[in-house]
Amino acid sequence: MSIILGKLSIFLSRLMGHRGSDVGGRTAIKHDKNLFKKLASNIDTIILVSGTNGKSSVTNLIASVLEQDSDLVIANKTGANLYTGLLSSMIEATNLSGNKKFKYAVFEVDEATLPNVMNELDHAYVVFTNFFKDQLDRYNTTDLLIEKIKKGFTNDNVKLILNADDSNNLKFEEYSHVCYGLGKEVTNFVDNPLLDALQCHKCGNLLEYTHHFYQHLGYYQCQCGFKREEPKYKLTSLKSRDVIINDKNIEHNLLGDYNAYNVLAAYALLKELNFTDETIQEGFSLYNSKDGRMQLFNIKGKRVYLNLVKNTAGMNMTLKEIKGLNVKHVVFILNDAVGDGKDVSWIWDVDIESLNELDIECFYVCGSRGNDMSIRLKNAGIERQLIIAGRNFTNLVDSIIKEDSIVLASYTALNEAKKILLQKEKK
Amino acid sequence: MDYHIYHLFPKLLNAYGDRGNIITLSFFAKEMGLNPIVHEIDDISQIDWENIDFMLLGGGFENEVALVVQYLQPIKEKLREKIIDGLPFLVTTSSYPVIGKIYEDSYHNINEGLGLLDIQATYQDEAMVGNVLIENSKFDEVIGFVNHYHEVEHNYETLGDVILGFGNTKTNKSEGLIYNNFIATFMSGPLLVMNYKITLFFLEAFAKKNDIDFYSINFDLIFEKRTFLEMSKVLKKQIGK
Repeated sequence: MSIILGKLSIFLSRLMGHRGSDVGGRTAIKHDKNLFKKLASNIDTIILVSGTNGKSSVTNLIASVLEQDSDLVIANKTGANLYTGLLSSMIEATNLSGNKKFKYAVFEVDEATLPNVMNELDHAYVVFTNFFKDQLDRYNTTDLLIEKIKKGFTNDNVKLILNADDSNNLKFEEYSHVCYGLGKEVTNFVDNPLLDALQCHKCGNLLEYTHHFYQHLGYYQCQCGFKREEPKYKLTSLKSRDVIINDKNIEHNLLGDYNAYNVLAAYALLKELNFTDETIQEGFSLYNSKDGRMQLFNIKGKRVYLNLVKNTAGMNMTLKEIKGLNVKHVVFILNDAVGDGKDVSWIWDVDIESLNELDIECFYVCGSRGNDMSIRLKNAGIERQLIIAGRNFTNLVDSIIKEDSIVLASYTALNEAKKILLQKEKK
Repeated sequence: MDYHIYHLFPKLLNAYGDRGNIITLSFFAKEMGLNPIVHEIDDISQIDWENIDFMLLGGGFENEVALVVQYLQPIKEKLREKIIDGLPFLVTTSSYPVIGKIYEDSYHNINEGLGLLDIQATYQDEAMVGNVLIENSKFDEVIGFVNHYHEVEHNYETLGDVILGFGNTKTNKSEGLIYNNFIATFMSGPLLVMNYKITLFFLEAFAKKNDIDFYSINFDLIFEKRTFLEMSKVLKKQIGK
């Protein structure tokens, strides 16, 4: 009964032009609190992807490969990653009685929701991407978040795929796990001078780094003996859309060097599920980002990139890509709605100063905190005349698309920006 | 003229974008014709006590703040003297509660603080999060964002009356502390980015001390004024003003 109501509400929601990606779950749960557990028990292998940045890309990469193997795959590709979003995905995929069996499910899961989801599952593979400071008003500290997540894990209910380069990931080392990480040969990530100082979770002393990739990711160790675990899955070469993992060449379609981690995380999980390199390569080749993760629009002969930027680490990584893209316009859409985080002080931890080295003709800012972004740019050394502030993206877009450009949009601004650019592309 | 800006333990106290306070102050100092020199202090031996023009103690997570409080113990008397002497000094967010003799932490333990001024800081279990708008301030209006569990009580001048959001305590409708040229607040923003009048306040103190005619300086405040006015409008709308 609750499934029927759930499916109905998804249908109606889409009829009204919404994405209907969460409402099914929200409706159904009012009628049957056990529905999640019931539907999940009909899935052979459940994969959860969580962490600060990269969840969506990793989930989509994994889904793309799973779909090579079976038609019975559930994935929340549109990113509804709360408990109700996952439930919605399962309701949409299942039949009216809810007893359809599935081979796989891969879900991106919001970090704070992960314990609630684990409660409903007997077993899951959990892929962690990274843990950065993100939305402090929602998540408080990373440590508290990790403590909360651990409450959902036992020795038997989870197999973790951990990022060895992230000391926060290693806080989960006591559970069954394998690691992935970059080799020292990968030097493409330019040293970010704004390294966060992290404390060793075992003894409280500051971690030391022998090698550093970006933010707090790298080769770390502590005087007490705690250190980075040697990964089972090692990426040793990084070129545009082409990587080498454990001596195997893997191609993919994702722009941006930081996607190396996403490709690596997905690869590691799929190998643990015994997929062959051939099948993995097939799946990866079919996945093109259409969800605002370095999404490329071709508008009247101009390239317009759209990228989601939610936090310091994400914005830093995106800025590093800009040089290679050869764009003339850089656009920031900065909102402060609940989904974005109400506090925008994080933009001051971003290396905006690096934009001075590029040949950018115009910087556009909009969104509810676009003005804060304009001050950030000015105080970073960008000339005032090059900074154009507008009410919203709609007002600025015609000027923007006159040149090759990149749009950095915060979470709640992304979908509208995508819609607008798609419309411009169609014309 | 050199303008020595001291940023205490920026790698540990980096949770609330306080770096923005330093970048902004430097920018304004340049506009004033000064040569800003930023000293990022990871060790107290790096401090040149004869040449400090501004000091910032920003916010961090609880463990990091506790570490910094330890690192600063040997020089807390010196810091207190500087504050009484009129050193422009800003303390923000989670470092505000530790400026007293003692403070309570999240485990409800009482720890030794920095003893800079006479305040009481208690920890209580409900977070105080959100935008804050202050009126009747030395700076007309002050705007910021808070996210903390501490309540602070003291008898010094405050930054003003809270019209929207949380003050020093859940019931106390004033926020922050101001004494001489020392300001402490729970607010991030960062504070000096959103509130150009406070940035000017600190620079004016320097100007007075160094015989600079502050009023003849033309600061270009178009971006700052626009940002502040729009944010003020948005926040006032939330309380039906």
